[in-house]
Amino acid sequence: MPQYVQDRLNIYDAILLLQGLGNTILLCLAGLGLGLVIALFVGLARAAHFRWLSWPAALYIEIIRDSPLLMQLYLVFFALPLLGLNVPIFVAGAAALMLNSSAFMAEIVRAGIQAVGKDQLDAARGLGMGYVQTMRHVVIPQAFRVMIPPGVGLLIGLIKDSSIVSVISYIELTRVGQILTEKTFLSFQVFGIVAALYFAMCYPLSRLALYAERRLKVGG
Amino acid sequence: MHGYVFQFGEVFRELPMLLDGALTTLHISLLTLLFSLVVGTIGALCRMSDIRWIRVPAIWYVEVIRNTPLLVQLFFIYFGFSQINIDVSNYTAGLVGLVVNNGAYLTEIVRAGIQAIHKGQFEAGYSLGLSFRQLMRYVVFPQAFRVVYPPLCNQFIGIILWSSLVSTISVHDLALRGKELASTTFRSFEVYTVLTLIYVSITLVISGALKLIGRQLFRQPA
Amino acid sequence: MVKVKNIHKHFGKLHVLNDVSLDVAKGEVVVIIGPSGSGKSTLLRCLNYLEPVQKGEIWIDGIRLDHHRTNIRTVRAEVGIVFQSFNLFPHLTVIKNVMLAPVVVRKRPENEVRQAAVAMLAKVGLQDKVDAYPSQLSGGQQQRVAIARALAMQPKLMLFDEVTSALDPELVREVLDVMKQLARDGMTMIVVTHEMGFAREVADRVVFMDEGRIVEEGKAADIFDRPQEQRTREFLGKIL
Repeated sequence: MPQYVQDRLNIYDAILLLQGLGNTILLCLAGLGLGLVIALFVGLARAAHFRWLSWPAALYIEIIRDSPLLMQLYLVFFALPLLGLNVPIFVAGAAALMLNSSAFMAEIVRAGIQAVGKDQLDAARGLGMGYVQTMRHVVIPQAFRVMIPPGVGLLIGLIKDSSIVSVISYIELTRVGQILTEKTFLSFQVFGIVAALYFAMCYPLSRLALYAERRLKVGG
Repeated sequence: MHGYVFQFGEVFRELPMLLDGALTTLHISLLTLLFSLVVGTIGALCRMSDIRWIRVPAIWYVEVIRNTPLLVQLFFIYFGFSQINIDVSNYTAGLVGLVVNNGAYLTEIVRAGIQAIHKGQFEAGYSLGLSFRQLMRYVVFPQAFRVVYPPLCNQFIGIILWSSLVSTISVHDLALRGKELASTTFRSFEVYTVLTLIYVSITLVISGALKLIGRQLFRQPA
Repeated sequence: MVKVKNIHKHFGKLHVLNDVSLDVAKGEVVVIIGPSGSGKSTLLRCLNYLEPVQKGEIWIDGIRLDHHRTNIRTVRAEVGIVFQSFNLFPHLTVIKNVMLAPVVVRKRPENEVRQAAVAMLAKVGLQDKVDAYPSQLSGGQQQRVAIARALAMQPKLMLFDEVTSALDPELVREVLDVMKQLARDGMTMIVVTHEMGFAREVADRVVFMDEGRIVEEGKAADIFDRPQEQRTREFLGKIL
């Protein structure tokens, strides 16, 4: 049976690409949003002086950093049904991204907190501020500034990492690329466009990170 | 989780097969590191060249690779080979993809290593009559190597972890063996748990060993 | 030994060396003084092609110093230079620092070079620091190693570029003593320095540079006690 092989890309393909792009962005937003929340808690725990807080946090971070994202994705994807949750693949993908980014983000949070010098803490304590107040008004604002350049770097990594969700057949940008290539065999063109779209998202962010880093050095 | 009984035994029975996949992962990672070092060194020298048409393509190479996903790069190369009718093994395609990717990161690492060296070192070397090659060999690279070693070790760990993506182009590494085992036993959760543990173990052992080696190599009296 | 004829050098728009000519005879010790930015360090660095000149000629021991690679390497092997920031190789021990160039450039056998290196280090007073790393030495010690390293190539000419400026005051003397001994032994030396006492004591000739030109030169006593030019007088007035 003759198979229809498309020999060039058409408008429907372009629409599919845009849909994939949109889904990629959705994935990243979801992964980032909850990931940040988890990261804040884990990061604070990691930086804490209490061992029963910092060690479990360190373990969590270490396991995620020392295993491939692909494995984490498969684990989440196959583990969730066992818990009785039949989730759409978007949720599985977002959950994996969320877990993964939270570990790296936690390290950034920890570094940010520890970058705030001890004298700042001493000054705050001297003024009579308690632990929570010190955190809220002194440590976190300053830590936040330090966290921005690596944070933007993490966002770039997240956008790239979202491509892995294609293996569980979620129709994000990379999966669209695979589908179109299977249809047309025009790998260079299709993945060239896909790469260009990722580049268009990531490159401006990397310039932003450089800019933020430079501003950070000047501000002092 | 009612009704589901964990059966790790089924996974452990097939450990030899999994370890065979781990071996593939390790040697593709090692080859990637070696080739990427070559690419990275050449890239760093290009990146620091005074000649624009050498320096600018090098900059673009690094920027494009760093701002696009590895998976897309792998597919680009893997499907690209068949598009232009070149017949290579999946392993080779995967290796090329990994080398092209890591070469860019290593370019930046090697460049940082060379630029960390004080300009006066070059002046002293040249003043003593050393040629460019002698200067590189006896003065620059030994010092650059010290600077480069920690990020290089990190990069190698990254290579091991990210090499799992070649499973998507049918290279029989640890990840693909696991996937096959999962589809034959239907024990996906157990399989991927064990796989994750194997990857974590490999990572911890190798990074520990590299740290020890580093301490030995760069041991200088305080 | 050294013939500098009407050289000009630019850094972009900046005219750093403006029609400079200088002759140095064998065994002579010439000290160059002047305000910062006067071009004195640049002049020194032109003598071993660390900086190229745009116009004029430089001759070292009969060899013309131009862009030809062989000439440059020959001259560099005959000219030793000591820098303000020492520039010792931090990953090598003291003895290896001194041995590297004779082994690699002159291709002498290692044990012969080692013996000579130990003797050289003894000459600068560091024979018991042979296996130390530069990071373990004081500034004055490091600079003396740098001198030994330059001397190991048995140069015909030694250049010193403000070699004591980066040292703590109490460490300056040990380095100057080594340089004085070198002068007594008959080495041809060109020294850029702010140490006027050293100049007065050791220099055969003192050269005063300002704004890329040689303003005045003559015997040490003449320059310091009876400066002819206005600018020389102003400069000396500020520092003496």
